[in-house]
Amino acid sequence: MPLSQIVAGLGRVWRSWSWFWFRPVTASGLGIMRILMGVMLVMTSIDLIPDLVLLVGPDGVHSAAAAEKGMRMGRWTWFDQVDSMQTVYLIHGATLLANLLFLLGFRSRTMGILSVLAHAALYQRNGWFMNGGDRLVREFTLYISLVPCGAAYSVDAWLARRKAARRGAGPSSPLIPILAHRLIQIQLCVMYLASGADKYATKSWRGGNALYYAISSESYQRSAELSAPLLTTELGQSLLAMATSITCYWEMGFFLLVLWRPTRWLALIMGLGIHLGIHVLLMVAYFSSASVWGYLTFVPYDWVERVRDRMGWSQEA
Amino acid sequence: MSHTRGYRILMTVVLVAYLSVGWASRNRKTALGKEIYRPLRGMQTALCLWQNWGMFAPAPSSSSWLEFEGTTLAGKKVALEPLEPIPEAATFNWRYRRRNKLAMSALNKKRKSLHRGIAQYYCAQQQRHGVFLKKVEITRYKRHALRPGQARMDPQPAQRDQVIEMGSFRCR
Repeated sequence: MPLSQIVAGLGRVWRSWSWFWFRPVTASGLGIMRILMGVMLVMTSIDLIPDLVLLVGPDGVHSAAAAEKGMRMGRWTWFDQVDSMQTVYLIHGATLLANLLFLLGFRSRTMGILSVLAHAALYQRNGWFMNGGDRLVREFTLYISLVPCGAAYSVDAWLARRKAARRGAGPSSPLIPILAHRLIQIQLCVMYLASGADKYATKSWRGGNALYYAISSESYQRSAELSAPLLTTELGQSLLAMATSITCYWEMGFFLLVLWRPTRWLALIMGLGIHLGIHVLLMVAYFSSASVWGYLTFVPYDWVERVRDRMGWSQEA
Repeated sequence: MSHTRGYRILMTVVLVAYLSVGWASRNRKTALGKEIYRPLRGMQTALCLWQNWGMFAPAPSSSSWLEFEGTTLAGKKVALEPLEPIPEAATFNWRYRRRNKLAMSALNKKRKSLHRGIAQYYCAQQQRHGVFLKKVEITRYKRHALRPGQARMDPQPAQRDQVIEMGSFRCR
């Protein structure tokens, strides 16, 4: 094969790759997503304050030496160097500030990366109080910090507009690479596929009893009173058996349903219902809210502009 | 920078490595998975970005809780407050209970370093109140979930909880 053909072929591959990962899209949707993710990060940080002494304090339940023994590979955390609670609170205060600035969109990408590092540092110090929802929050924050997530609805955008106005330039609609959207889409598809396959491999999910047992467990139950009608009546148990099968098959088929445009909304609406049910009945931290947050990457990329046009709001507003 | 060639090349390198390690972490028992995972795993472990998603698989078939009992230097037994107070039946738990997650992690009998850490925490806590403990014993109580048919007939039958001794830990 002549060299020119190889070069042309590689060029086509690179263009396709670039189109898939770096095609420009409007920044407004990701701006809204950054704010919502910022809220989840801020709430996590505030929520942890009363338990900091027990969970990550120098005299807490998990010593730094034990943490080091349990996680040998790639372990780092600034909490290892801390020997007083004042310093722990100071570090946590700085984390909360980084989360807040990320929410507000001041130096958005830097604050996003700092928030991920701070979250990981907590996990590395004591991972026993965190769950899959926390991991999802970390992953999604990292993904949106790889692109200019503060290009819209942020202090960064306001400062940029002010600077442009001073130079005499008019308002412009910022565009960002689609990279973060793609990573979030892939993450959700992989997560559901892996989770569905793991569920299908167990007897309780195939037998239709898994949700009954999950909701029965007092360790996960949000409210015994709310769960009782589902657990103790024939109708409730039938509904749970149906929901068990739907959840398992929907998770395994999510990537196909969401890829094919005619079934995309069905996949997302079903997901919304399933996550709402999980959130109301089970305590899984931010797992449901972070998952549903990710659905925003599957709706048209210019959804904010469409809503704005429909409502008659001007871009300046 | 976001649309420049340099950004695209840098991100391409990051993406290829990140997606490869994500795939390899789930397939690290295969020869190829092992080869890829070993040099790149730091990418996942440093930021704790694992791809294990077996949520509720298998579904829990019981409820468990831990109880802690201290023994003073004089040999007197002292009941210690639980890590997470057991909520009332009518409570709606709005907030995710981190202490509950910690207690759930401690249910595994093999996690001795965590048990030791919890015991030391209680020793120090009691010492601040003027109670000097010699050791702390941890006991797990396990209640199996009722079968669906049984739950319909009698939702609250008299049940005997399974008692599992998790160990006795000396105060330092």
